[in-house]
Amino acid sequence: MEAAALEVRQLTRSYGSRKAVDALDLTVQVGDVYGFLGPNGAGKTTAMRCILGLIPYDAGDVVMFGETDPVERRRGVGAVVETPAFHGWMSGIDNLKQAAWYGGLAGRTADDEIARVLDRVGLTERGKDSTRGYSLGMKQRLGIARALLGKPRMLFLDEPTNGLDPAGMKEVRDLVRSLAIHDRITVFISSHLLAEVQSICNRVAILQHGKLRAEGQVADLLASTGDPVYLVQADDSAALKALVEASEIVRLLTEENVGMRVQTALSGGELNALLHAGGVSLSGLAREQRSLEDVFMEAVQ
Amino acid sequence: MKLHLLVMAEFLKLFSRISAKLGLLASLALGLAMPLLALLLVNSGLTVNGAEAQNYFSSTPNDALVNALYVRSFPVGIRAFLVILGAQAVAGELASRTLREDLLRPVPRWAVVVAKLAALLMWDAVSLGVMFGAGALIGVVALGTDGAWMATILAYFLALVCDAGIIAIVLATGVATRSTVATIAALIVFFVLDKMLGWAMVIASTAAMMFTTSEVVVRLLNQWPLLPSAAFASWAFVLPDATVNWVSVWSALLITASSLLFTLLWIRRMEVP
Repeated sequence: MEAAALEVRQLTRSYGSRKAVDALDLTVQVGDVYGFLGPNGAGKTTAMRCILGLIPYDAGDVVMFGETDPVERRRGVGAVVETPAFHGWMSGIDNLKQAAWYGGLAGRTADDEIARVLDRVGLTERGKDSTRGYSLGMKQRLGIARALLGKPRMLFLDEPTNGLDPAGMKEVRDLVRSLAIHDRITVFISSHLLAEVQSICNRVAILQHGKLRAEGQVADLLASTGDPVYLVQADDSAALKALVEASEIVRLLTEENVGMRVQTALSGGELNALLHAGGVSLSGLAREQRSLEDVFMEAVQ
Repeated sequence: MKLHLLVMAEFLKLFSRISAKLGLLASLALGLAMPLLALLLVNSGLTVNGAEAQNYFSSTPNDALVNALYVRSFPVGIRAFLVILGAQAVAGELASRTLREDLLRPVPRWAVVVAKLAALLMWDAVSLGVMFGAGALIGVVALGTDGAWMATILAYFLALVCDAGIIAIVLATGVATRSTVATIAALIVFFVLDKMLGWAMVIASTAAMMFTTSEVVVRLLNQWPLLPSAAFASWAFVLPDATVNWVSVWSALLITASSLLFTLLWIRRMEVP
């Protein structure tokens, strides 16, 4: 049987008395596009740094493709942690050349590989320019190009769309999707952008206060036994909000321009009757498809 | 892991820095200037303390080369470039997070330190070579071929050994402070205090011999050649009339080894941002 791409067992890392990562268990199978979710400060970056051997951890085991040694487990793995850093006075090509040499590629092999990854991220035209003049989106793409040097089996991306404009976010999202589908690279992507993760990942883990709150196939989590979600509308939205907030069996998820998203174990008819009995006449009620955001909110509340 | 590729990568980074290029330019200028200055002084007809300048200044090319080494070793001389480059290589890369990108590759941390040390030594060797080459060329043309060439060449090799100690101290300070500015400031304070301590020990040892003081104190005060300032000037011990000795050479090697060991142990458990 093929070894899992990543196995994390009881990973724990503390800063003083605060546990940033608390007995974390994860398994990423080869071919997964794995979303690592959590609110800011949940411990995602700390966990990723422990996994990549950038910082030590207090307890637990990390195994990547069967390797436990921090140097060996980085072999065949590319990573972009937070905003990628470059030597600003050097060109994109020289930055990649330096990284290729660090990765053990030399001579013609390194040059061919640099040309390949620049083409892959669409930066061939700007390769000779100094990276000081690159936009954030270009730096993010060059960071991914650097991580792709040597044809890695697995790619770690930490908040890869942070700070990008919508067009830049789409570019990176499309690139990640294409890497997973066409290049068959296992991807581990940390993010707090749920729609983004839902659109590209097949499996997710949700982290909060360093602890794993939920983990599984995206499809399974969306179809799981959580209470149904409704979009409700009323002319008197203040009264509707007050009634929902006072209710013990209906939970307000989000307020949106088109109405309120609420979650309850009641059926649509029962919800309508309950609100009507409370003096609020609904102008609209529709059952919604559960989103990853709902799963996330349930997990972290 | 192929160590030579890591050294090549560090070499590429280092030699493309403006500070590295300026340092090499300064080495070239110093190498060219010293023989020309000697020629100028000797033929100037100047009188110093009632005697002609040429009685005070040697006109051999290798003396000009040795004088270039002395000027190079001033705290604000070309060694300052070495401190800046060393600080940028570790502390600067920790602060700018480019060191993290290197450590995401499948390389052990000790190899990264060794590669940086090797690249800095290569820069230093090129800098010394440029200075020696330019100085020797101009010196031979302008001043002839007389002089103790063997001792001068040896002094240049020993200067490289001494500079290795400075690089090792800079790397150690860099991993501890994680800031280029803090590293440079700490090194300046360290070398100033070290120099002042050396002078104080020399003065105190002379004074101690004039008064009744225990032999242990006198012996302790006479250990100034062990201080880093004397150790890093120990390249001069091969020259006639030099005041430094083998003890300083050993001290330089010891400082190099201990600083390097500190760096390797520190970086091993260091949290990389």
